[in-house]
Amino acid sequence: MEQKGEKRTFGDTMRILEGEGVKKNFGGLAAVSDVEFHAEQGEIVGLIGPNGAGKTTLFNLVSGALIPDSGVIRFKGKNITGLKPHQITRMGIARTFQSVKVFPKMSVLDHVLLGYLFGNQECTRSDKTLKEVTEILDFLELSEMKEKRSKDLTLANQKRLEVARALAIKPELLLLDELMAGLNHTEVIEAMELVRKI
Amino acid sequence: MKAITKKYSLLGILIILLLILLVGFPRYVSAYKVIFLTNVLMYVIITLSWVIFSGSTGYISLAPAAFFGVGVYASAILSKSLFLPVFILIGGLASFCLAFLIGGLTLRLRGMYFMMFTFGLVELIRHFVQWWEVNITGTVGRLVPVLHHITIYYAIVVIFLLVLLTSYVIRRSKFGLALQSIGECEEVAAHTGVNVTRVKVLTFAVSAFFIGVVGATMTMRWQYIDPSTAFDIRLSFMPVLMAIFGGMGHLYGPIVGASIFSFLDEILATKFPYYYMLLFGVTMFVVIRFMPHGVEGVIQKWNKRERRGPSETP
Repeated sequence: MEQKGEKRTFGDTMRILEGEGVKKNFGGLAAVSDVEFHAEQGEIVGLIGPNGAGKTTLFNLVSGALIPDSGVIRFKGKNITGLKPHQITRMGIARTFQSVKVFPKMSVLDHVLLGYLFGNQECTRSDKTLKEVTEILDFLELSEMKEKRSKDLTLANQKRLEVARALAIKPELLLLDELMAGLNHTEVIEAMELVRKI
Repeated sequence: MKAITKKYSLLGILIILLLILLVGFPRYVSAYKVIFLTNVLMYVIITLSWVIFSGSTGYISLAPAAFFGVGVYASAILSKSLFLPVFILIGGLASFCLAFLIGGLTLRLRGMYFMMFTFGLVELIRHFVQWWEVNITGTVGRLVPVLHHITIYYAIVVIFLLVLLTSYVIRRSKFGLALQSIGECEEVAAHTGVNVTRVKVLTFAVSAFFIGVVGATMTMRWQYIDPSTAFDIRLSFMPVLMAIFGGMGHLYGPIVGASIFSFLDEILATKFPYYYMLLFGVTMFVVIRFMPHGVEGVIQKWNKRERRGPSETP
């Protein structure tokens, strides 16, 4: 597997995510084999490779959707290999999906609310919740359509919504899987600005 | 804003009226009608409890008959020695535990597989009880001490109100939000921090609790029970049909659906005993063909039209 890191470091050098000898086979096919990787706090790391290189598989391994056959993944020094997706999410790793995955019949507001209420350590609904949820929606410029059902949004906005939902869990690590796929030129530029803002 | 408060006060008045009607009902009508209404309420409760779990998550469970039967047997065994509220509660708890166990084992199955399994569960338990009765106790069925139909009626009314309250609270809480997200995309729900397994199993068990409670209460009407009446597979299909008929998006959907449906059921069964099943099937066909979102869908369409009406002619 080819892997190239595009790094931008901001002084702080605490390793937030580390992987050692991570391996995953699908039947006879080695999707990810013996990968070592690490990301530092405050860093934007790009993971690139051709189709089928295993980028998404690696994301699935980190976020807990798949369990590696061997190897160790550490988050902030803690071993998270084999934990359930919701446990990993609550520790502070949020992700988006390559093919957009939103809850079609739920409103934009409910998406963010769900992330906020369940992604943090068992939050309950309060005035503070609504304020912070509104902030996130404002940040991603989704406030105007917060009552809309997500299936009525454009693809670009659905992707924004995914990011909003991911941010609502107040992550320390945000995994964006092919955020730009399927967007037109202007939308790509907007998305790039968005990533930088975060 | 004013319109909303007006709507809520109207709803409040409606609920109080309904309450008075339900409580005062037995004083003015014949025993047959009280028993009939008890039956309708039984279906309403089962359908509401079924919708708590299956309506939002999309897991179609055919297990209600199993939970109902467990409640029936629990109360049949205990009713000689305990008071009504106590053994009703135990009946519900027995169903709760069963659902908890079964849910933990099977809720990883999706769609058709889950449905088939829950269907099989009913048969499994029924045959087990039958085997037990034949080989261990050497009996067929059980005699149950009968209670007055008005006592049962009031017990059912109380249970109905409790289910209504529970469904309302779940719908409004963050738990309801989690259930909805599971129904729409389970994988993403997990990645948003929802403990999918716990939410599913717990809700499944809560829904089973109420069905068990109804079973435990209704036993008192029957004098005699045996495995095939207690674990009647019809009770598994009825809530599904009633929920489809009524619609599941709002609370009133299952209530209206179950009421009309059980009313229809009774009329067809008494007036046309020979064509009963045929007419039933035709009705169901018409409903699914012309009202895909059930009664609720029709009401909402009508509502929308009315709301649009005055704004178009300023």
